[in-house]
Amino acid sequence: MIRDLLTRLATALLLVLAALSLVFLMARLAPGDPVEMLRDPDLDAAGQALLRQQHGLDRPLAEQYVRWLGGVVLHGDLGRSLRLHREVSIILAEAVPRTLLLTVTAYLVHLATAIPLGVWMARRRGSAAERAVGALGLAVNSLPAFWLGLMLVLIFARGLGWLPASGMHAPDHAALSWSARLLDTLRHLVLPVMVLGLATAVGTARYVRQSVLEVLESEFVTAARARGLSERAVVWRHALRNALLPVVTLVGLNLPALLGGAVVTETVFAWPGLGRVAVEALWARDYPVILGATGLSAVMVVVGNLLADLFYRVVDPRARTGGEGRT
Amino acid sequence: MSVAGRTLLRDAGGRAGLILILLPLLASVLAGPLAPGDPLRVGSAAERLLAPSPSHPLGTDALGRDVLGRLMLGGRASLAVGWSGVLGAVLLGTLVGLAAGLGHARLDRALMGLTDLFLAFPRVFLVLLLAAVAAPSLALVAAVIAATGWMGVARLVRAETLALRDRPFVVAARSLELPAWRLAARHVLPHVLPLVVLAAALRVGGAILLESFLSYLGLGAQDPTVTWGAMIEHGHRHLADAWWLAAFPGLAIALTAVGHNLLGDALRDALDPRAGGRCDAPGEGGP
Repeated sequence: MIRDLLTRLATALLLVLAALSLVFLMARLAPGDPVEMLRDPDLDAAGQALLRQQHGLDRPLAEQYVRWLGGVVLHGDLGRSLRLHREVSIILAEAVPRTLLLTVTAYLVHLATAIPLGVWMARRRGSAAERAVGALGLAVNSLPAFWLGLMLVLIFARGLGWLPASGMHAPDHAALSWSARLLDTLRHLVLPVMVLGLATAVGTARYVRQSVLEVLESEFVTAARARGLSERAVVWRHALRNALLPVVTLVGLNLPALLGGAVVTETVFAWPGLGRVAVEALWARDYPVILGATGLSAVMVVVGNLLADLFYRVVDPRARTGGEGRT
Repeated sequence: MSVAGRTLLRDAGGRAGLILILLPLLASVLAGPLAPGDPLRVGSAAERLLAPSPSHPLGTDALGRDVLGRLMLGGRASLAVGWSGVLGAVLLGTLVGLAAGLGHARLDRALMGLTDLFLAFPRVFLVLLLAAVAAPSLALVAAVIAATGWMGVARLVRAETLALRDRPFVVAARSLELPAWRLAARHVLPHVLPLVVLAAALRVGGAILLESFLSYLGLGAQDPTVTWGAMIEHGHRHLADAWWLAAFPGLAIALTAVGHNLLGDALRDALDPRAGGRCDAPGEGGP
């Protein structure tokens, strides 16, 4: 058990190092020169040379690589932004809590919708209403998320005027009382969370439905029914617990999709998180920031998968021994 | 026609999917004769931001260009990039999967390590990084979709190849000391192919969504090439006074993606009758 855990940790660590190396190589082996790509009209040849020297871009690539990776691993130092002239680590440290606020809220809304909906779909299997919801899920999964966001802005912000169109705070946020500030942030959260958490929930609900249906056929459910338990108790207390195990894994493994979705959502709603930072850095060709954001996203995925794995072992005793039990 | 093909066409979802795919294809091919006016011609000041009307059924944009005509043209980029991007991803994934499944254990470990490495990134971040290092173009978007979409196919093909490699006909072929590529191409690939075709069909919808997002960010084809994603970006800037600019291209993307997803589902049922009604596996889909 302990040995198995240590192996997992070591693999995760190696994966993180490899991911950071891959990001660096992709960014630096690209044909363009980062300083010229900036296209800053105020920057003359001397200024460019100075910027190159300040960021160590005039050194051999191998030296740059060792310095960069060493800085990241030893001091959490990701270099400085070429455009904003600030530490990349500080820019990212500001952005990550905002992305977490958005994704964690979306995640909770996602599960709180998908699980009851999936159970309902399993119990009403084959009915017209159930098939309609399934078809709706397929359709919503095919909508471009950024477009869905724009349409929600069009309806709820521009048309009805109920909710703010973009950003995380109203301009007068700082002057408000704490309860008004909380309400203000919540109002800004509604539309992004609808795109990131709610729109995809029907897809997960179809998965929950399938899982519940499979569990309902197993012997312990028949046994529970034979004891005369109500259908409600059978489904909610006995079947759902076991049905949720694969769902937890699925949702844990979908962390990349959630982070990727956050990029799309943050871009449309101007939510000042990690995705917005990455997209803005991309437009400005600010490569140290893109590098840092992409590397950080990989670290978050690896750590998230490790946690999902550990959680699964705690919940499901069967996963503890085999090691290769899951595919 | 093959059994799978007939089953596909008997399925209502499969037929609807085919129609939804043929629609943008025909529209983009026939845009020349059918489109009301030249979709690329910049109109006069009086023609700007006109709401939908009989002369411009879907209105005009901020440069006075007809939205319906541009919508018809825009299908080209979506279909071309969606299909070629997925084709590249599937080719790459099949090669990696076959090599890992048939090759030496050390090669297998290395290739699967590479697969895990690429899977550690949220796809959009990897796409943004790759798109940042070159000049924006349609070919770049297709290449980026291929370079970030092969991992699932590689795992699938490897698993299938491992299941095949100890079957008598593969062992017999191996004993003939055929060159490795011939063993892979002639004896293993035909058995993996249906799976690969299905994997491709199920991925096109996601690739079209990803292409539209990149075009929306300005990383796709540049003016004068028309893309639905770039049309939505244009609409985003005029959201307050011209809702039709953003609304219609999004619907076009959605219908095209729905068409591919319906066809993919129908294809899955046709190729594997056991899978009827099964739920989607978690994809590595785009936004």
